[in-house]
Amino acid sequence: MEVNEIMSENIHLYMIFAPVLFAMIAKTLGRRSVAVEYFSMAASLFLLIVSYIFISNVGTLSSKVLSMPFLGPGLFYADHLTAFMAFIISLIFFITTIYSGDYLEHEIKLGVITERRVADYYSRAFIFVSSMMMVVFINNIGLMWASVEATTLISALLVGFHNTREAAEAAWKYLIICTVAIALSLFGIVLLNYAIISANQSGLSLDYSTLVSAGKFADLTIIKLSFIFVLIGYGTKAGLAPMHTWLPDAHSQSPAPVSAMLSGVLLACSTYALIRFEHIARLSTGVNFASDYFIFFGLLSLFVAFPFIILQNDIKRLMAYSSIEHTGIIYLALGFGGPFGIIAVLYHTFYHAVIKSMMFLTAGSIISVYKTNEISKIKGLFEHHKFLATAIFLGGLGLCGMPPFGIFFSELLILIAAITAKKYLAAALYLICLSLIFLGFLNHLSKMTFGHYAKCHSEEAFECENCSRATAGCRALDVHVGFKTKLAITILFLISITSGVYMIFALKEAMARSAMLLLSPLF
Amino acid sequence: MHSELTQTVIQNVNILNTFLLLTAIMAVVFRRIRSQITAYFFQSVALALICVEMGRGLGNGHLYVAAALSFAAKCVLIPLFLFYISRKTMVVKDGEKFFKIPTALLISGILIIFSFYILQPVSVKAGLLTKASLNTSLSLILIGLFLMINRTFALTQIMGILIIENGLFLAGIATTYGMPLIVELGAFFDVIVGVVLMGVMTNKISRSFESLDTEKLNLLKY
Repeated sequence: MEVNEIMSENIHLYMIFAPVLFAMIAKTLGRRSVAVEYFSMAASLFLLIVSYIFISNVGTLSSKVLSMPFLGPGLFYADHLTAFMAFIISLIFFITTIYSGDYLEHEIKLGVITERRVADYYSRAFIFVSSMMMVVFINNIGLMWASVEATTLISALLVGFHNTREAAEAAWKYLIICTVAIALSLFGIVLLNYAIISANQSGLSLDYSTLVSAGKFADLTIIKLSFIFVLIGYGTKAGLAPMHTWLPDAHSQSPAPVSAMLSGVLLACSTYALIRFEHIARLSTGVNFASDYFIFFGLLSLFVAFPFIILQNDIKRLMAYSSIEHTGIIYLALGFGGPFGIIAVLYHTFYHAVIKSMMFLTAGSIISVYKTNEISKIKGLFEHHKFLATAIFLGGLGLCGMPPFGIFFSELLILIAAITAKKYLAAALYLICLSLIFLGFLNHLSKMTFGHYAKCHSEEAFECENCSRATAGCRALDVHVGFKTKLAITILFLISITSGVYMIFALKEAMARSAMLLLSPLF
Repeated sequence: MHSELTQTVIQNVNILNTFLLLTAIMAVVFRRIRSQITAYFFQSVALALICVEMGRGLGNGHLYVAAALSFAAKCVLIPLFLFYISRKTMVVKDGEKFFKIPTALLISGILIIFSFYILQPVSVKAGLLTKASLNTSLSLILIGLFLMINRTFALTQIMGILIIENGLFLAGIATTYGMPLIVELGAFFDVIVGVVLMGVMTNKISRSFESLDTEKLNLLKY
């Protein structure tokens, strides 16, 4: 118990500052890419273990303000929601790190990157994780904004990791659109500060921990205005339509493990910041005004996503549009609210993080096997690669909400929340969109996995009709998929298929308690 | 909590607010990148002066720190860096995408009126100064957005973001008598890192696309 106590006092130091240290070590290891790879795996396992111990103490954990040497008390804050988010981030990061080894090796073999850049990749990934942990652990709403902006800056470097024109374009769009959007949410936070000052609550700072316990103090008009600015800002970062345009570009051009992290946890981080802000807005005005905005934008995202999913011909963009869909679903759940809605938000965040990362990793491997992104050129996966075929097919079904997978249960919870809240029209539209998306996905999945793929056997250099590239001695399929790739995909698959029925106690407890925190005026 | 502002301070700040709007409109009108950077420089000087005025009027020490930081970052570092990038990428003039300059000027005027209209319901307790500065800051944000939409070159888009950021900074200092200092430090850090990153990417784009026209960034669709 002693050890656990010391650790949960200093958890923020481990989670935020250790990755920065790891990044420096990875950078100094430099050219020895194998050493960097195994070091990163060990370091990310360390983060996962620490966050697991933190979340398994969930019974004894209460919301508390953490102090920081030299910078004074009150800078960091942790409660059950923090523990939950930190666990998801470190879990997904650990698994993507396992996968990255094989992925980067393959890229070096193809000559896409040089060996020198491996250390670059890992150090950027560590800093990226550190910035996401900062979002999760910070107490001050203004600094939370600064951390969200920091995640944009560092992940733009990861999006533009490949030195191609497409990657440069995607990174530029991502950086510009998200920076402008995040700037708008800073205006919202300034308005919140203005509301605090004009209510003459001189004891209040912008700290979350003081604001949630301050009770009703603010003017509804100002808070409403500030909420809209913050919603637009963080909503853009979460991939909410109609501000989603950066998302398919960024997710399709970044390396596969980065796409997995962007989609699995970065979107959740920005939703987390919005949830914190909405909580303050609700408590300080005593009015729940946000739910209509959430429902509107959630449904709009579903409506924007489904035609693009049905007509998509690029496997990674397909996953990206599915991320927009799931962001929409999470916002819908926020909008329906109530105990069911809030618990569904947390469950859906977890399930989506796991299964979407798995799908991005599988898609990355399929692309490296077939050397193309285009769905129409990927055929007969079952014939040539049973492992990837099973993964993409079952994973795809899980992503659309087939029963043994977790997504089914959270989507069902959202439906219950909608009916409890008497939003019948929204519930109907939600179901229609989900079934259309399911049809679209099934179409793409069966096209890719079934059918026959003609191999080309010639050894001469020519434009292969199956692959997009002209390669010397194209033997069509590079069927070998490494052990680490299989391990990463299998772990994620097992988590996503079992967690629907059985969730580890600590995680379940953490989610239930954070739902209680977020619903606090009710309990 | 804070002492009342004197009439002189309010007057001075209002004059500087007007100057901020003027420089933002200058950025919309100018087509040469170097003139735009100069306009941004003068805008930042005015912003630092507002900070100093407010600090003097309120007797608040940390506004002086904010002014010094803002001067160092926005009047020295960022303009020098932008001049360096513009020399390196050899861009001289920018093109309009939707509106010619006279129309753009008119639209900037409409945006200013629009921001006054949006902020009408926000009640004012702290006196005349707050309202005028809040209006100015929202106008700067909208004009910055308009600049980004209407122009096509990557460097002008960075200018747009910088004008938006100036608007946010004004909102921070003038309406709430300064955000907490640590928040401002975080924001400054983000702006400087962000501008450097965008500059580097601009360079990368100009090398791989052989142009800085963002209209040519159209490889990724649907």
